[in-house]
Amino acid sequence: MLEQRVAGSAAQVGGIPGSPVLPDLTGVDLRTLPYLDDAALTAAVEDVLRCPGSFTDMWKDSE
Amino acid sequence: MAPAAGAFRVPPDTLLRIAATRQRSCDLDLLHAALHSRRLVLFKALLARVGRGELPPAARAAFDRDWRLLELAESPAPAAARRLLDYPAVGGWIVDALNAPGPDGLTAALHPLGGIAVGTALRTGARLDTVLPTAGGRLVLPGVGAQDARAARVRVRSGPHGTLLTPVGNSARSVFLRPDGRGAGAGWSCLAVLPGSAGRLDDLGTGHTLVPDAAPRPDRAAWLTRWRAAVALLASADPWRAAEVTRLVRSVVPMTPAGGGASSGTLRAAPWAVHTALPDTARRFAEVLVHELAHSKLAVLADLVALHHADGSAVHHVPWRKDPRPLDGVLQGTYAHLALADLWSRVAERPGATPAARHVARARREEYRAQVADALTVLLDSHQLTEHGVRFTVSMKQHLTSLGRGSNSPYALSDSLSGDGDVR
Repeated sequence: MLEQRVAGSAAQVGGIPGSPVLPDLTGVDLRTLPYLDDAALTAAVEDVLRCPGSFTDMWKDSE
Repeated sequence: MAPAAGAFRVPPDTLLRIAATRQRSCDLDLLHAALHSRRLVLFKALLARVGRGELPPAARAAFDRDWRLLELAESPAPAAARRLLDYPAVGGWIVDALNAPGPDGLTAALHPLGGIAVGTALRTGARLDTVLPTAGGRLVLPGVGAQDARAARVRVRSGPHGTLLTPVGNSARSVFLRPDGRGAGAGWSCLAVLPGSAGRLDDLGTGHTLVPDAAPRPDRAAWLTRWRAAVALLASADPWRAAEVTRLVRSVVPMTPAGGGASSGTLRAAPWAVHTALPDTARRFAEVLVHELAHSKLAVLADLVALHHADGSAVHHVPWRKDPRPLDGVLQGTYAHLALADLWSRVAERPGATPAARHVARARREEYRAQVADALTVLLDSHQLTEHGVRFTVSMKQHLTSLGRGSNSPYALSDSLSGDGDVR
């Protein structure tokens, strides 16, 4: 099984150096989410807040 | 005690199947789980931004009310709620809010949250009884539709049998929505179903603002007719690909061509949405659907597995663009063009194709094959791919090599392509 973390580049996701891995939140509901204090989730949230503009990336194509 | 977040594991075969553009159902389950997890991370980030205290008290109170509504809406049936929470426009909306400038910008950007809660309640049958403000007299339910309420506020009462929207002071324009989003009453417009799928033509401006809306309002009949023809074209040439499109595309969002001549696109925060100007032929629409869907798949996969460690500072030339692209763009473009090479290979090798149609399809396939081959060399020579990125790219190369060998298509193909690729 491949893991999210890649040997030699343990904290990289989506090609963005330093980005944490995406935690598996299957089974977490919205009522729980505000109180979920998990290191991986906290790191992922901080990554989003550090650079929210990266989520506006759009792959554009022309004819 | 709150449950702990888990860690995803990606089976090697999943990576290889996705690289070959033809994943299995179990692979999609993983991608859907990843998308939902990303969506929850974005929601949590939004909670954190709101928690910084920059909102005026009234806006903060409105957010707290709407978040509680959303929690209530999800609670009876979390699995059903995901269909709305994971809808592409919801991802785009969260990103809009996260990037909104200052307290005023954030206050305005948070407005759709109440509508998302109501749309979620429609899915789950949750009981809500609340009053929501409109925007310019209009109540928007992302992914569902919009009510021209002609009132400043709308009372919302929902339950297992549907939702009643009653404009305050204008009850004559009340609307009752069934759980499928269809409604009866003045001023209600629901998103149109994309025929043969669970997707929607998101043409009511219920989405986010990152992508320019088409203006004036698009010709819905023209869009649905061309969608139907594009899917029929895919089904005749490649039933597997047609099924993928109808299963995965959640929304087609009409857009005006953006700067630089872009006529279609995929937003990282909104996978499974195809933003496009109206393609002029069914063949072109089919290509857009396949192309953009590939971007979505790779966007979600890249949340699970690091494929490269490029920081964007180095750029590379690719055959399909005049401007140099960062490595991530090269990877995305290579994958999307591989899906098109795959499509035209199936079209070219279908039994019963006329010589003329086969000739056209093979020419298209070879054009894409040459482009992808060049880009694969860029990727493999970049020294910026991770171990998994190399494996993914080598698998793309192997799949490219397999195309065009002929007589290996497991799909029954009919002869419904005309010379220009439209459905006869």
